[in-house]
Amino acid sequence: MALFRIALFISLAVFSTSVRAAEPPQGDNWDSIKLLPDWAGAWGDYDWETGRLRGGEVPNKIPFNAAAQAKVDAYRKLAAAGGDVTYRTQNCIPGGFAGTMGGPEAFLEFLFTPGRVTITSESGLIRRIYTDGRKMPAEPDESFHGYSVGHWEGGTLVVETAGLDRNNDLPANIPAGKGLHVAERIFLTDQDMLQIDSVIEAPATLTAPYRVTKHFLRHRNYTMNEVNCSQNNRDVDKSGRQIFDLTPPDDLPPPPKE
Amino acid sequence: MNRNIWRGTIVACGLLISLLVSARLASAHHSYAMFDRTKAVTVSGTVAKYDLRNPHMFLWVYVKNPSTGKQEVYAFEGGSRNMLERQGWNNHTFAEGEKLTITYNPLKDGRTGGYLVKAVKADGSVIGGDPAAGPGDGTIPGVSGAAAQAEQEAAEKTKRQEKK
Repeated sequence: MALFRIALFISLAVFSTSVRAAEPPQGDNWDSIKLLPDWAGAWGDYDWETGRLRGGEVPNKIPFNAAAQAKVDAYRKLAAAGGDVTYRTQNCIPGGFAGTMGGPEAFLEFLFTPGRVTITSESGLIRRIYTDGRKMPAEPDESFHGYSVGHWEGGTLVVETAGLDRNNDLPANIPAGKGLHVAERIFLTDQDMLQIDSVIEAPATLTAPYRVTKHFLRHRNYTMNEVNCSQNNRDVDKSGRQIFDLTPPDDLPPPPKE
Repeated sequence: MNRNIWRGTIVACGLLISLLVSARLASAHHSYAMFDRTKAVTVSGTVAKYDLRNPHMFLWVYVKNPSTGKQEVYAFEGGSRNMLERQGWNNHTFAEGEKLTITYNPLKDGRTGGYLVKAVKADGSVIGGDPAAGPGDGTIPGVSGAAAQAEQEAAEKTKRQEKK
Protein backbone atom coordinates (compact mmCIF):
# COMPACT_ATOMS: atom_id res chain seq x y z
CA MET A 1 0.00 0.00 0.00
CA ALA A 2 2.81 2.35 0.93
CA LEU A 3 4.55 1.58 -2.34
CA PHE A 4 1.33 2.28 -4.23
CA ARG A 5 0.98 5.67 -2.50
CA ILE A 6 4.58 6.60 -3.30
CA ALA A 7 4.07 5.59 -6.93
CA LEU A 8 0.86 7.62 -7.09
CA PHE A 9 2.57 10.67 -5.55
CA ILE A 10 5.45 10.44 -8.02
CA SER A 11 3.02 10.04 -10.95
CA LEU A 12 1.01 13.09 -9.87
CA ALA A 13 4.17 15.12 -9.36
CA VAL A 14 5.46 14.19 -12.83
CA PHE A 15 2.03 14.92 -14.38
CA SER A 16 1.82 18.27 -12.58
CA THR A 17 5.31 19.21 -13.74
CA SER A 18 4.53 18.22 -17.32
CA VAL A 19 1.31 20.30 -17.27
CA ARG A 20 3.24 23.29 -15.94
CA ALA A 21 5.91 22.78 -18.58
CA ALA A 22 3.20 22.83 -21.25
CA GLU A 23 1.80 26.17 -20.03
CA PRO A 24 2.69 29.07 -22.29
CA PRO A 25 5.36 31.42 -20.93
CA GLN A 26 3.89 34.16 -18.75
CA GLY A 27 6.80 36.59 -18.74
CA ASP A 28 7.27 36.24 -15.00
CA ASN A 29 11.08 36.45 -15.28
CA TRP A 30 13.59 37.67 -17.85
CA ASP A 31 14.13 34.15 -19.29
CA SER A 32 10.37 33.74 -19.75
CA ILE A 33 10.13 37.18 -21.40
CA LYS A 34 12.56 35.97 -24.08
CA LEU A 35 9.90 33.44 -25.11
CA LEU A 36 7.15 36.07 -25.57
CA PRO A 37 6.35 37.50 -29.02
CA ASP A 38 8.38 40.48 -30.25
CA TRP A 39 6.23 43.60 -29.84
CA ALA A 40 9.12 46.09 -29.87
CA GLY A 41 8.74 49.44 -31.61
CA ALA A 42 5.86 51.90 -31.84
CA TRP A 43 2.40 50.94 -33.08
CA GLY A 44 -0.07 53.16 -34.94
CA ASP A 45 -3.58 52.36 -36.16
CA TYR A 46 -3.87 55.31 -38.54
CA ASP A 47 -3.00 54.75 -42.18
CA TRP A 48 -1.52 57.97 -43.54
CA GLU A 49 -1.70 56.73 -47.13
CA THR A 50 -5.44 56.14 -47.13
CA GLY A 51 -6.33 58.58 -44.35
CA ARG A 52 -8.30 55.91 -42.54
CA LEU A 53 -7.98 53.70 -39.51
CA ARG A 54 -6.47 50.34 -40.42
CA GLY A 55 -9.03 47.60 -40.83
CA GLY A 56 -11.94 50.01 -41.10
CA GLU A 57 -13.39 52.81 -39.03
CA VAL A 58 -14.45 52.43 -35.43
CA PRO A 59 -18.15 51.56 -35.80
CA ASN A 60 -20.36 54.54 -35.02
CA LYS A 61 -23.33 52.41 -33.98
CA ILE A 62 -22.93 52.11 -30.26
CA PRO A 63 -25.67 50.32 -28.26
CA PHE A 64 -26.46 53.27 -25.99
CA ASN A 65 -29.33 53.01 -23.56
CA ALA A 66 -32.13 55.58 -23.80
CA ALA A 67 -30.59 57.99 -21.29
CA ALA A 68 -27.17 57.97 -22.95
CA GLN A 69 -28.70 58.25 -26.43
CA ALA A 70 -30.66 61.29 -25.24
CA LYS A 71 -27.36 62.87 -24.15
CA VAL A 72 -25.83 62.11 -27.56
CA ASP A 73 -28.85 63.59 -29.36
CA ALA A 74 -28.85 66.73 -27.18
CA TYR A 75 -25.14 67.16 -27.76
CA ARG A 76 -25.58 66.83 -31.52
CA LYS A 77 -28.47 69.28 -31.52
CA LEU A 78 -26.42 71.82 -29.57
CA ALA A 79 -23.46 71.38 -31.91
CA ALA A 80 -25.63 71.79 -35.00
CA ALA A 81 -26.95 75.06 -33.55
CA GLY A 82 -23.41 76.31 -32.97
CA GLY A 83 -23.60 75.97 -29.17
CA ASP A 84 -20.86 75.22 -26.69
CA VAL A 85 -19.81 71.67 -27.42
CA THR A 86 -16.70 71.61 -25.31
CA TYR A 87 -14.96 68.26 -25.36
CA ARG A 88 -13.75 67.27 -21.92
CA THR A 89 -10.39 66.53 -23.51
CA GLN A 90 -10.12 70.26 -24.25
CA ASN A 91 -9.70 70.70 -20.52
CA CYS A 92 -6.95 68.09 -20.63
CA ILE A 93 -9.09 65.41 -18.98
CA PRO A 94 -7.74 62.03 -20.12
CA GLY A 95 -9.84 60.64 -22.91
CA GLY A 96 -9.75 57.08 -21.63
CA PHE A 97 -8.92 54.07 -23.73
CA ALA A 98 -12.07 51.95 -24.01
CA GLY A 99 -12.00 51.17 -27.70
CA THR A 100 -10.19 54.41 -28.48
CA MET A 101 -6.49 53.62 -28.01
CA GLY A 102 -4.45 54.92 -30.90
CA GLY A 103 -5.81 57.33 -33.51
CA PRO A 104 -3.77 59.70 -35.69
CA GLU A 105 -2.22 61.44 -32.68
CA ALA A 106 -1.15 58.63 -30.42
CA PHE A 107 1.25 55.79 -31.16
CA LEU A 108 1.53 52.99 -28.59
CA GLU A 109 4.44 50.97 -27.25
CA PHE A 110 4.50 47.75 -25.22
CA LEU A 111 7.11 47.21 -22.52
CA PHE A 112 7.71 43.75 -21.02
CA THR A 113 9.13 43.43 -17.51
CA PRO A 114 8.81 40.41 -15.19
CA GLY A 115 5.17 39.94 -14.25
CA ARG A 116 3.96 43.01 -16.09
CA VAL A 117 3.20 44.44 -19.52
CA THR A 118 3.11 48.23 -19.68
CA ILE A 119 1.37 50.06 -22.52
CA THR A 120 2.35 53.68 -23.02
CA SER A 121 0.68 56.04 -25.45
CA GLU A 122 1.85 59.36 -26.86
CA SER A 123 -1.41 60.72 -25.44
CA GLY A 124 0.08 60.29 -21.96
CA LEU A 125 -1.89 57.19 -21.05
CA ILE A 126 0.09 54.55 -19.14
CA ARG A 127 -1.51 51.15 -18.60
CA ARG A 128 0.03 48.57 -16.27
CA ILE A 129 -1.17 45.03 -16.95
CA TYR A 130 -0.19 42.61 -14.22
CA THR A 131 0.65 39.17 -15.58
CA ASP A 132 2.03 37.79 -12.30
CA GLY A 133 -1.02 35.68 -11.60
CA ARG A 134 -2.79 38.05 -9.23
CA LYS A 135 -6.56 38.24 -9.28
CA MET A 136 -8.64 41.30 -10.00
CA PRO A 137 -9.39 43.08 -6.69
CA ALA A 138 -13.05 42.97 -5.67
CA GLU A 139 -13.46 46.75 -5.81
CA PRO A 140 -10.46 48.44 -7.38
CA ASP A 141 -10.23 52.21 -6.93
CA GLU A 142 -11.44 54.17 -9.94
CA SER A 143 -8.74 55.63 -12.20
CA PHE A 144 -8.48 56.55 -15.87
CA HIS A 145 -6.20 53.61 -16.65
CA GLY A 146 -8.13 51.25 -14.35
CA TYR A 147 -6.77 48.05 -12.87
CA SER A 148 -5.64 45.47 -15.41
CA VAL A 149 -4.74 41.83 -14.97
CA GLY A 150 -3.68 39.62 -17.84
CA HIS A 151 -2.16 36.35 -18.93
CA TRP A 152 -0.61 34.94 -22.06
CA GLU A 153 -2.35 32.33 -24.19
CA GLY A 154 0.51 31.53 -26.53
CA GLY A 155 1.16 34.73 -28.47
CA THR A 156 -2.06 36.41 -27.29
CA LEU A 157 -2.15 38.73 -24.31
CA VAL A 158 -5.57 38.42 -22.64
CA VAL A 159 -6.44 41.45 -20.52
CA GLU A 160 -9.26 42.31 -18.18
CA THR A 161 -9.64 45.87 -16.92
CA ALA A 162 -11.98 47.18 -14.22
CA GLY A 163 -11.86 50.06 -11.75
CA LEU A 164 -12.15 52.52 -14.61
CA ASP A 165 -13.07 56.11 -13.83
CA ARG A 166 -16.71 56.71 -14.69
CA ASN A 167 -15.62 59.71 -16.80
CA ASN A 168 -13.75 57.51 -19.26
CA ASP A 169 -15.04 58.41 -22.68
CA LEU A 170 -16.70 55.95 -24.98
CA PRO A 171 -16.00 56.62 -28.67
CA ALA A 172 -18.82 59.20 -29.00
CA ASN A 173 -17.41 61.51 -26.30
CA ILE A 174 -19.94 60.16 -23.80
CA PRO A 175 -18.77 59.22 -20.29
CA ALA A 176 -19.13 55.48 -19.76
CA GLY A 177 -20.45 55.73 -16.20
CA LYS A 178 -19.92 53.39 -13.27
CA GLY A 179 -19.07 49.74 -13.83
CA LEU A 180 -17.07 50.09 -17.07
CA HIS A 181 -15.28 46.84 -17.85
CA VAL A 182 -13.03 46.11 -20.81
CA ALA A 183 -11.83 42.70 -22.02
CA GLU A 184 -9.08 42.65 -24.64
CA ARG A 185 -7.21 40.13 -26.71
CA ILE A 186 -3.99 41.49 -28.20
CA PHE A 187 -2.01 39.51 -30.76
CA LEU A 188 0.09 39.73 -33.91
CA THR A 189 -1.67 38.95 -37.17
CA ASP A 190 1.51 39.41 -39.16
CA GLN A 191 5.12 40.20 -38.36
CA ASP A 192 4.38 43.94 -38.16
CA MET A 193 0.61 44.04 -37.63
CA LEU A 194 -1.04 43.89 -34.21
CA GLN A 195 -4.74 43.39 -33.55
CA ILE A 196 -6.66 44.43 -30.45
CA ASP A 197 -10.15 42.98 -29.99
CA SER A 198 -12.04 44.81 -27.24
CA VAL A 199 -15.36 43.98 -25.61
CA ILE A 200 -16.64 46.97 -23.66
CA GLU A 201 -19.31 46.58 -21.04
CA ALA A 202 -20.79 49.73 -19.50
CA PRO A 203 -24.04 48.87 -17.69
CA ALA A 204 -24.76 52.55 -16.92
CA THR A 205 -24.59 53.53 -20.59
CA LEU A 206 -24.87 50.55 -22.92
CA THR A 207 -27.61 47.98 -23.45
CA ALA A 208 -25.21 45.36 -24.81
CA PRO A 209 -21.45 44.78 -25.00
CA TYR A 210 -19.78 47.02 -27.55
CA ARG A 211 -17.16 45.23 -29.65
CA VAL A 212 -14.30 47.04 -31.35
CA THR A 213 -11.37 45.67 -33.35
CA LYS A 214 -8.33 47.81 -34.11
CA HIS A 215 -5.23 47.11 -36.21
CA PHE A 216 -1.85 48.65 -35.53
CA LEU A 217 1.16 48.81 -37.86
CA ARG A 218 4.63 48.54 -36.34
CA HIS A 219 7.05 51.46 -36.73
CA ARG A 220 10.15 49.78 -35.40
CA ASN A 221 12.52 52.74 -35.37
CA TYR A 222 10.04 55.48 -34.42
CA THR A 223 10.93 57.69 -31.44
CA MET A 224 7.90 58.16 -29.21
CA ASN A 225 6.64 61.75 -29.01
CA GLU A 226 3.97 63.31 -26.80
CA VAL A 227 0.64 65.11 -27.06
CA ASN A 228 0.49 67.19 -23.91
CA CYS A 229 -2.82 69.04 -23.97
CA SER A 230 -1.75 71.76 -21.54
CA GLN A 231 1.34 72.92 -23.46
CA ASN A 232 -0.37 75.58 -25.56
CA ASN A 233 -4.10 75.05 -25.11
CA ARG A 234 -6.01 77.93 -26.72
CA ASP A 235 -9.28 76.06 -26.98
CA VAL A 236 -10.91 76.76 -23.60
CA ASP A 237 -11.39 79.82 -21.41
CA LYS A 238 -10.59 79.97 -17.69
CA SER A 239 -13.93 78.37 -16.83
CA GLY A 240 -13.22 75.51 -19.21
CA ARG A 241 -15.72 76.45 -21.92
CA GLN A 242 -14.82 76.23 -25.60
CA ILE A 243 -13.25 79.31 -27.13
CA PHE A 244 -10.59 79.95 -29.73
CA ASP A 245 -8.16 82.34 -28.06
CA LEU A 246 -6.54 84.51 -30.71
CA THR A 247 -4.60 86.76 -28.35
CA PRO A 248 -1.28 87.11 -30.18
CA PRO A 249 1.84 85.91 -28.32
CA ASP A 250 3.77 88.66 -26.50
CA ASP A 251 6.91 88.03 -28.52
CA LEU A 252 5.53 88.66 -32.02
CA PRO A 253 7.99 90.72 -34.08
CA PRO A 254 6.78 94.07 -35.49
CA PRO A 255 4.82 93.81 -38.75
CA PRO A 256 6.66 94.19 -42.06
CA LYS A 257 6.93 97.80 -43.24
CA GLU A 258 6.05 97.24 -46.88
CA MET B 1 11.80 67.46 -68.46
CA ASN B 2 12.81 70.89 -67.26
CA ARG B 3 12.99 71.89 -63.60
CA ASN B 4 9.79 73.93 -63.66
CA ILE B 5 7.74 70.96 -64.87
CA TRP B 6 9.33 68.74 -62.20
CA ARG B 7 8.59 71.36 -59.55
CA GLY B 8 4.99 71.66 -60.73
CA THR B 9 4.58 67.89 -60.68
CA ILE B 10 5.97 67.64 -57.13
CA VAL B 11 3.73 70.47 -55.95
CA ALA B 12 0.67 68.88 -57.60
CA CYS B 13 1.47 65.52 -55.99
CA GLY B 14 1.91 67.19 -52.61
CA LEU B 15 -1.41 68.97 -52.99
CA LEU B 16 -3.16 65.76 -54.04
CA ILE B 17 -1.76 63.83 -51.07
CA SER B 18 -2.66 66.70 -48.77
CA LEU B 19 -6.24 66.72 -50.05
CA LEU B 20 -6.59 62.93 -49.84
CA VAL B 21 -5.31 62.85 -46.29
CA SER B 22 -7.21 65.93 -45.20
CA ALA B 23 -10.53 64.50 -46.33
CA ARG B 24 -10.67 61.88 -43.62
CA LEU B 25 -10.34 61.65 -39.90
CA ALA B 26 -9.81 64.38 -37.35
CA SER B 27 -8.06 64.43 -34.06
CA ALA B 28 -10.12 64.42 -30.91
CA HIS B 29 -8.86 67.30 -28.79
CA HIS B 30 -11.74 69.63 -29.59
CA SER B 31 -14.77 70.14 -31.73
CA TYR B 32 -14.13 71.96 -35.01
CA ALA B 33 -17.53 73.66 -34.93
CA MET B 34 -15.88 77.11 -34.77
CA PHE B 35 -14.41 76.62 -38.25
CA ASP B 36 -16.35 76.47 -41.50
CA ARG B 37 -14.67 73.38 -42.86
CA THR B 38 -16.81 73.38 -45.99
CA LYS B 39 -15.00 76.50 -47.21
CA ALA B 40 -11.39 77.28 -47.98
CA VAL B 41 -10.07 80.86 -48.14
CA THR B 42 -6.64 81.93 -49.37
CA VAL B 43 -4.48 84.84 -48.15
CA SER B 44 -0.83 85.84 -48.59
CA GLY B 45 1.33 87.16 -45.80
CA THR B 46 4.52 87.12 -43.76
CA VAL B 47 5.25 84.63 -40.97
CA ALA B 48 5.33 86.36 -37.57
CA LYS B 49 5.68 83.24 -35.44
CA TYR B 50 5.58 79.49 -35.94
CA ASP B 51 4.69 77.52 -32.83
CA LEU B 52 4.89 73.73 -33.26
CA ARG B 53 3.47 72.68 -29.90
CA ASN B 54 0.62 70.60 -28.49
CA PRO B 55 -2.25 70.21 -28.50
CA HIS B 56 -2.24 72.24 -31.73
CA MET B 57 0.29 73.92 -33.98
CA PHE B 58 -0.22 77.68 -34.36
CA LEU B 59 1.07 79.79 -37.22
CA TRP B 60 0.87 83.57 -36.74
CA VAL B 61 0.99 85.55 -39.98
CA TYR B 62 0.88 89.25 -40.85
CA VAL B 63 -1.56 89.84 -43.71
CA LYS B 64 -1.99 93.24 -45.32
CA ASN B 65 -5.60 94.45 -45.32
CA PRO B 66 -6.19 95.71 -48.88
CA SER B 67 -8.79 98.23 -47.70
CA THR B 68 -6.87 99.86 -44.85
CA GLY B 69 -3.32 99.04 -45.89
CA LYS B 70 -2.63 97.88 -42.33
CA GLN B 71 -0.89 94.63 -41.42
CA GLU B 72 -3.31 92.41 -39.48
CA VAL B 73 -2.40 89.37 -37.40
CA TYR B 74 -3.94 86.09 -38.57
CA ALA B 75 -3.85 82.93 -36.45
CA PHE B 76 -3.91 79.51 -38.09
CA GLU B 77 -4.39 76.36 -36.06
CA GLY B 78 -3.13 72.94 -37.18
CA GLY B 79 -2.82 69.40 -35.85
CA SER B 80 -0.83 68.16 -32.88
CA ARG B 81 2.96 68.29 -33.03
CA ASN B 82 3.51 64.55 -33.31
CA MET B 83 0.78 64.15 -35.93
CA LEU B 84 2.39 66.82 -38.11
CA GLU B 85 5.91 65.53 -37.50
CA ARG B 86 4.83 62.16 -38.83
CA GLN B 87 4.18 63.98 -42.11
CA GLY B 88 7.57 65.64 -42.24
CA TRP B 89 6.99 68.83 -40.27
CA ASN B 90 9.68 70.01 -37.82
CA ASN B 91 10.70 73.15 -35.92
CA HIS B 92 12.12 74.63 -39.13
CA THR B 93 9.16 74.07 -41.45
CA PHE B 94 8.44 77.81 -41.42
CA ALA B 95 10.75 80.73 -40.60
CA GLU B 96 9.95 84.15 -39.22
CA GLY B 97 9.73 86.67 -42.07
CA GLU B 98 8.97 84.00 -44.68
CA LYS B 99 6.34 84.80 -47.34
CA LEU B 100 3.49 82.30 -47.58
CA THR B 101 0.20 81.84 -49.40
CA ILE B 102 -2.15 80.13 -46.99
CA THR B 103 -5.40 78.28 -47.56
CA TYR B 104 -7.56 77.78 -44.49
CA ASN B 105 -11.04 76.96 -43.20
CA PRO B 106 -12.23 80.34 -41.88
CA LEU B 107 -13.58 81.00 -38.41
CA LYS B 108 -17.35 81.29 -38.43
CA ASP B 109 -17.24 84.36 -36.15
CA GLY B 110 -15.32 86.40 -38.73
CA ARG B 111 -12.09 86.84 -36.79
CA THR B 112 -8.89 86.72 -38.77
CA GLY B 113 -7.68 83.15 -38.95
CA GLY B 114 -8.90 79.59 -39.01
CA TYR B 115 -7.80 76.02 -39.53
CA LEU B 116 -4.79 75.56 -41.80
CA VAL B 117 -5.43 73.53 -44.94
CA LYS B 118 -2.10 74.19 -46.66
CA ALA B 119 0.68 76.74 -47.00
CA VAL B 120 2.51 77.41 -50.26
CA LYS B 121 6.06 78.69 -49.95
CA ALA B 122 7.73 81.19 -52.28
CA ASP B 123 9.46 78.31 -54.13
CA GLY B 124 6.09 76.65 -54.81
CA SER B 125 6.45 73.82 -52.31
CA VAL B 126 3.27 72.88 -50.45
CA ILE B 127 3.02 72.17 -46.73
CA GLY B 128 -0.21 70.51 -45.66
CA GLY B 129 -1.61 67.19 -44.65
CA ASP B 130 -3.59 67.82 -41.48
CA PRO B 131 -6.44 65.28 -41.51
CA ALA B 132 -8.77 67.65 -39.62
CA ALA B 133 -8.73 70.31 -42.35
CA GLY B 134 -11.63 70.49 -44.77
CA PRO B 135 -10.51 70.60 -48.40
CA GLY B 136 -12.89 73.47 -49.14
CA ASP B 137 -15.02 71.65 -51.69
CA GLY B 138 -18.15 71.63 -49.54
CA THR B 139 -17.24 68.42 -47.71
CA ILE B 140 -15.68 68.01 -44.30
CA PRO B 141 -13.57 65.17 -42.96
CA GLY B 142 -15.33 62.14 -41.53
CA VAL B 143 -14.82 61.96 -37.78
CA SER B 144 -16.12 60.00 -34.84
CA GLY B 145 -17.84 61.86 -32.03
CA ALA B 146 -21.28 63.35 -31.58
CA ALA B 147 -20.28 66.99 -32.17
CA ALA B 148 -18.41 66.12 -35.35
CA GLN B 149 -21.37 64.17 -36.68
CA ALA B 150 -23.62 67.13 -35.92
CA GLU B 151 -21.20 69.42 -37.75
CA GLN B 152 -21.30 67.11 -40.76
CA GLU B 153 -25.09 67.01 -40.74
CA ALA B 154 -25.37 70.80 -40.37
CA ALA B 155 -23.01 71.24 -43.35
CA GLU B 156 -25.07 68.85 -45.47
CA LYS B 157 -28.28 70.64 -44.48
CA THR B 158 -26.79 73.99 -45.51
CA LYS B 159 -25.70 72.49 -48.82
CA ARG B 160 -29.20 71.16 -49.49
CA GLN B 161 -30.73 74.55 -48.69
CA GLU B 162 -28.27 76.29 -51.03
CA LYS B 163 -29.26 73.92 -53.85
CA LYS B 164 -32.93 74.83 -53.40
